[in-house]
Amino acid sequence: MSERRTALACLIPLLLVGAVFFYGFLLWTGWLSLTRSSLLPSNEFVGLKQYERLLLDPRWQAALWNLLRFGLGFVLLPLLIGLGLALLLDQKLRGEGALRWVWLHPMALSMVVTGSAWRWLMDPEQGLAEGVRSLGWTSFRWDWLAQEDMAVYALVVAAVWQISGFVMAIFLAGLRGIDESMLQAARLDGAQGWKLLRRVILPQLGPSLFSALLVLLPAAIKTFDLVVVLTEGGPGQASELPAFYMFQMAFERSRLGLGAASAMVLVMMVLSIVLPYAVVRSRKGVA
Amino acid sequence: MKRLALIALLLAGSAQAADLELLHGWTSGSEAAMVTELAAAAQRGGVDLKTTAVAGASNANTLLKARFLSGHPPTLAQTDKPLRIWAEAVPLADLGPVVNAQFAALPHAVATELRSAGKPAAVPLNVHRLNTLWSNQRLLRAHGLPVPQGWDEFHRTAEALRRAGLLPLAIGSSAGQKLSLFVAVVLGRAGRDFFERALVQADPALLASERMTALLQEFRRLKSYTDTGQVSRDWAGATALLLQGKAVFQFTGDWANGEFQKAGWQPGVDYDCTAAPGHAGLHYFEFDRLVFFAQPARLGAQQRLAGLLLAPETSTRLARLKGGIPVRRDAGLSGFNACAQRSAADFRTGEARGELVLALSARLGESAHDSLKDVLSAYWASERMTAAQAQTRLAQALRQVD
Repeated sequence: MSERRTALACLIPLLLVGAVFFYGFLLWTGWLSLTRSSLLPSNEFVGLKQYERLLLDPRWQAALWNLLRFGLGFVLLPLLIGLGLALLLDQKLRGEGALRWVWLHPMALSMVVTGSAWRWLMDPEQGLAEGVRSLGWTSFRWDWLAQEDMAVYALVVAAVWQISGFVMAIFLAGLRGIDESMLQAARLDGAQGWKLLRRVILPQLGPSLFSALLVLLPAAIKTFDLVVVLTEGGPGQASELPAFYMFQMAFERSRLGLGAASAMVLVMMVLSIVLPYAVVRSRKGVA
Repeated sequence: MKRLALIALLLAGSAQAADLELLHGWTSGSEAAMVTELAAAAQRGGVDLKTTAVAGASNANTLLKARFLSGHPPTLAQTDKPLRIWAEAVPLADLGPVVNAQFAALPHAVATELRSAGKPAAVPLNVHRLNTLWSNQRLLRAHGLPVPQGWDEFHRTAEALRRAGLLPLAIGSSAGQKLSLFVAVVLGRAGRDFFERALVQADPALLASERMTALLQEFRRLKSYTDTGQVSRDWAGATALLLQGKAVFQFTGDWANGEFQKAGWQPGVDYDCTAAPGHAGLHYFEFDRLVFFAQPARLGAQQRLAGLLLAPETSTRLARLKGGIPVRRDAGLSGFNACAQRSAADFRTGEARGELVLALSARLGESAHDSLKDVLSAYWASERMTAAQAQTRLAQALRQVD
């Protein structure tokens, strides 16, 4: 009993902090999104006006479209690369430790560092492109940062480089969790190579895939720092993502109410991914 | 432990706060020198002023809002927003009749912008000319080309330079630089009246006119003189291309003058600073200013400081340190280089004839100004957006209200 009490006493400060800084500010943001707040918060209620403005803003529409393009690359590529690397490592390679160390390395960097480094690498005039040109291929061009259609994929390149190692680690853990005797049995039944992979191994990686998605999807929606350091949303607004839009409106421009409305939409998007999962889990817990 | 000590120190520091506090984002070399001089001038005048610097104007703006939210606003701050935006959000100080009398020495357009409800609430520090064409004279001479006076001549010159393997026009990534370029085209091609009616008053007929289509097309034609590296440099990076002998022209404000001076370049010999093509003596300007917030207990000190900063000598010294030209009509120009002298001459002529053009940033509502920049930078970046589409969006942008 006293142990319980100690545990509670330890948890309460954390709960309070969480309640104030998460739910408190969430509620405040929700309220601001219903007001006329511009430069500073105001309490003048305007109903859903800010949401209406938001939905009609071509910049916001473009940001959502960009998020879709970015999200597809940012989710699918790391899954493929991560799975590939994990399967490779699982072949009981000799240098596994070293390789794992190398592939996990990008995880140690923040997105800001990743973005800055890739900004230099992808610089159309002085980056990797110039390196290739100086090697003799003088007509070589790699100017995604300057192209309205490709700038989003420049974000994808940097983000995938950053996160693939982490996805690999998740899959590797999943692979290591597969019962060796089951694999043996499958082999005895004649399953080999591709067949073994498709019929026996992949189906068991479901939970790993699920964990990876649960990390990747919200991360895609929240992507902000990468945009700031790599493209600043440009050229024009061609690589703007919703979180960047939210920051610009709320903090750089005096449209706090509009920024709050976009923040609420972002929260709802993240919740729509995480909530079903939480519900399923809590049901399982009860049963 | 160390961290605790640091926090304690910070708390102690803020506890024995000075009378007045200035929050600003001036951190580059020349800017910092100006702030130091400003603080020294305050001290000489018996005003206890503390200056708080945050790197970058937008960060300073963000902190300023946070300070208001937390209930500890500074007494005065740098602002790049029209004064009425602040006046709507928070009460501003009334700097009093003495300062008001000093405003008589300011150009009318400047003095008007600094008053809120008829009372002075901000002081100007200097005037920046925005419509300047910076040219690399060394390269122009080497190719036997003069500095272009009109836009047709500019295109001919730029194309000749491109054929010679040079980068005709250096530009950076910010939306503001595209706006400057567009304004240079509009003022140079269509003139001041068109600019006022179309962009400031948002006349729908003019915005939809064929003339506007042509202006937008000409604006984008300028992109063909630029490089792809523009996406990863700022205005100073663009100026550096001129200094490295790679690029020939740049359109930006007179803050670039400092970069040329630092490199030891002589105006008229190594580089030149002229009004943008077709602008002749037209002066398109903005000015640095400090806004004073209403804090009744400190009003006396605020009024004294405002008076000190407007004093002819101090005002001139601050302008010289920051770059640009003095804001007072009666200021002397010794110690200013040829570029500043030319800007000042055009400014005074323009003021006398009532032909000065105050920058859009101080005249449009914030939403309209921001949307205008959005449209122009999107149009500049896009291969697909047609001039007609950009024109439609331009008209929508200028109709936006805050």
